[in-house]
Amino acid sequence: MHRYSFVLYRPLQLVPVLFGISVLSFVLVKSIPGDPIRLLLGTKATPEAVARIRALYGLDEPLITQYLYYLRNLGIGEMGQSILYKVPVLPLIADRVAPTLFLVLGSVLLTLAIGVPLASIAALKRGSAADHAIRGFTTAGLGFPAFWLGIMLIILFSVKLGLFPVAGYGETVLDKLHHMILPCLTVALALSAVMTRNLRASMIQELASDYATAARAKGLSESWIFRRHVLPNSLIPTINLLAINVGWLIGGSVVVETVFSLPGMGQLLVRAIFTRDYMVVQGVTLVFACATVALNFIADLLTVAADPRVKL
Amino acid sequence: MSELALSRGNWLERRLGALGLGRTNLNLCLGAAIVLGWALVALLAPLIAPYDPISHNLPEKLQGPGLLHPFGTDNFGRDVLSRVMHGARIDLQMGIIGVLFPFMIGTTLGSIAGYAGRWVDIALMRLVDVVLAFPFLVLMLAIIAILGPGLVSFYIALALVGWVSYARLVRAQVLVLKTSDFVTAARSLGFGPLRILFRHILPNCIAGSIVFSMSDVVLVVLSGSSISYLGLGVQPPTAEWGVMIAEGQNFITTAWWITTFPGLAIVFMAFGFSMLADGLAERFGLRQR
Amino acid sequence: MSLLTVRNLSIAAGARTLVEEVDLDLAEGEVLGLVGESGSGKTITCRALMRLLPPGDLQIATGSIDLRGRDLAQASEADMRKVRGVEIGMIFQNPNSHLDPVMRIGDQIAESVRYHEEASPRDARDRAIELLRQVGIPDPARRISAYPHEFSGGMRQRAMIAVALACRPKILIADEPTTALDVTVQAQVLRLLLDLRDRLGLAILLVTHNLGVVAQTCDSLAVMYAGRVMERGPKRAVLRAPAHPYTEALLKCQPGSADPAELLPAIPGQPPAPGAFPSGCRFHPRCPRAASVCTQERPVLRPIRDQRAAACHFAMVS
Repeated sequence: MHRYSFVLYRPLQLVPVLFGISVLSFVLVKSIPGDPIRLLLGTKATPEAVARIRALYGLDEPLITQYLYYLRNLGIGEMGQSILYKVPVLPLIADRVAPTLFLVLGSVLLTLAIGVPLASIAALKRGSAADHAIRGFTTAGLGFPAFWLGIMLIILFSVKLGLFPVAGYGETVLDKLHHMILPCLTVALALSAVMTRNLRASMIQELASDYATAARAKGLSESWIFRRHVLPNSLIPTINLLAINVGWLIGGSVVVETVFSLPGMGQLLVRAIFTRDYMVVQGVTLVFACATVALNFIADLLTVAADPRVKL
Repeated sequence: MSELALSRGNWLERRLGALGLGRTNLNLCLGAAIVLGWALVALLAPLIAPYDPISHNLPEKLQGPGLLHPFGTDNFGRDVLSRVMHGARIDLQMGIIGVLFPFMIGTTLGSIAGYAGRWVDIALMRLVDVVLAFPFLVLMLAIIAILGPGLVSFYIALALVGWVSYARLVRAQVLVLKTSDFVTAARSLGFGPLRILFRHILPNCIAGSIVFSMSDVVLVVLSGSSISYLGLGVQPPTAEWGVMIAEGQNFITTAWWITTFPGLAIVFMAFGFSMLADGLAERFGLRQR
Repeated sequence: MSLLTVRNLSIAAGARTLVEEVDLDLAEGEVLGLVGESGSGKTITCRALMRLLPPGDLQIATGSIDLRGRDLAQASEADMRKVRGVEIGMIFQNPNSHLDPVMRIGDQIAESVRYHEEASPRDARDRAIELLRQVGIPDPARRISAYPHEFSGGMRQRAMIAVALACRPKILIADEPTTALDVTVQAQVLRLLLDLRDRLGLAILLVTHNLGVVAQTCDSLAVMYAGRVMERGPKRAVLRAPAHPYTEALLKCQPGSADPAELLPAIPGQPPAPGAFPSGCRFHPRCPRAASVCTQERPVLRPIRDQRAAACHFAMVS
């Protein structure tokens, strides 16, 4: 069997999880106390709208039928209507995807950009002052609340130094990049603490490995051995670590979007909770869950690409 | 095994052993000291806090750190130091209660799943998979959306979401212990399954959960203060660190101290629990990677 | 004419001396067996020849390692990098862990060529194919893009030999090259080493604990015990009439030397822990011929006859 054939059958294995996600999100909205129609449409709904919702969700039918209606609606991209914005939920979410995606991907890249050099220095200069400082950062960094870190970065870089805007998303691509640096850095700092800690440990292990000794016996320089052998081998567990932290990464982005007033899905979710815009809460939660599943799938792909021994 | 590999291993072990031993003591002692310190501050807050944390004192608003107010005052003239001290009561309570329920639920369900096996195990583990598919904070927020904002909603949401980590941890260990010799021996003596599970298996796999719960406190305090920061957890005027940071965010250009000190308090408390977790992990011989 | 001459080599870990006063001579086209139990210091000795002792832990205390007029014991790290892989290649006991698991076999061979000779990727690739063919791997042009885990144990050992020979060194240090392999594969790998010796004029230092391997492959041998050379000389002469009681005891423990139906005799006692060596002759606590002189005076390695030397008070000088 080909190593990448899991790309074809893995989605089938995901069916139970996706099914569970849909049930859970269905149960969430079903548990809302009060009249569902009033909650879904607000108090000033017209009788036609009430009738339409009743038919769409089969609200008079038994629960199981209602769930099947819900599934069918999901299938046709019908996630209901936002009370606050008076528009369908799906396009509302679609408008908010870009900043969140930007934030998550940018944070991962920055995490690597911070974590790989720090871990390398710590592993190569083990026991040095730099190593101790980096280890201190990795222990303390775990406990940094993202929202507070964001504000501290704003105070330092925006208020005192005037380097970056305090909040917002910007218009042009360059402008957006300028706006996104601090939010990405906020998420990345905390995540890179975890990553540096793990990467340092695996680098130390790989530096002492037999194949590194064999590479030394080939007369290669330490820096060559580190770049060509130690780094690729120690990055493999890092992919897995990032995959485990995808949920955490998305959670962090929700908070950070609020700190920096970024018009992403997280900010949409928080506002929807305040305004009891339940269909939006349900929609965003569902999309975030599917995104987590998808990102984990991508991490599997990356692992297979990076490690020839892995078969899924 | 070649003699060089042996000698190198010994060398490394010696180094690591010396280091590890030193770090266990340091981690455990420092962690315990920090956590104990916070517990004292929380207990004694009404006695040792120099000012009232809630009542307004507008003439003294927005004063920078000084002799009278070491951490400055906020926009209502409240002493930030006093509020940080009182905040310790709430945040420490969040950390402890927020871990207790997931710990109990997760340990129970996980051990039942591991011991019962078959469809019980399959059903519970599928549920775990589904809960884990949701980003932790997002699912918490969705549940809080239904229950309404507040500390109680936070605890309920945490109990509903947080148990999965413990369940997975305990299940894996029960699966190993289930087939061990001493359990076979207990079974051959005719003990019932419940007695075997709770008297023989659980005590042997609880150490991992306890260590994990210490690092979980960090996660819980962080998410609790995050949710309060978002306005969905503890409500003002209660002094809670996340709430204080949210309130201070409007004044970052003029009064950095309102946001800085509560945040440092979170970092410091989280650091204490992280050290405690590391120290316990080494004491129990469970090196966490 | 000796290619590599080791004189008075001692290796220390802090205050403990693990290897003492080792002399070795390796001539062009010669296969020299370095024999000993584990803990006898043979692996440390050959790591020292490459100056690959773990830094800060083990170090060369005294002695010289002469390679064509240069003393490797005193060479700088930069000079050593031009020796390793280029003038002396090295293969290891366990090919599974000594090959990088995530790099293609061909790249691991070509790597040294590109690093040391600054060859183009194409030339390096051609060399890799040629080397794989030389070590007897079928369909080398295709197999260069395989990963180590796709090879069998014997193939991996062949690949590791190809890696070590990538820059055409004249000396190959083989540290227990067959220990981790199946018996049938062991013979193939040994035959390959001899074949390479014949074709390339390679000098091989073969480290092993197995006298059977020595008997099959080596021209001469040196027997180590507790960090010291006990006896050395041409293989045939030493194996036929060992001059040192330790060599004699080792020979008796080899399968095939005694009645096949009987249990093999074992040397009584345990070899001493590295660095905690007994006084006098280090073998005396286990030696059947030990006398009081053996507990007090350390015998030096002295020539006896036919280019042989032994470190025993009772070795006969002709």
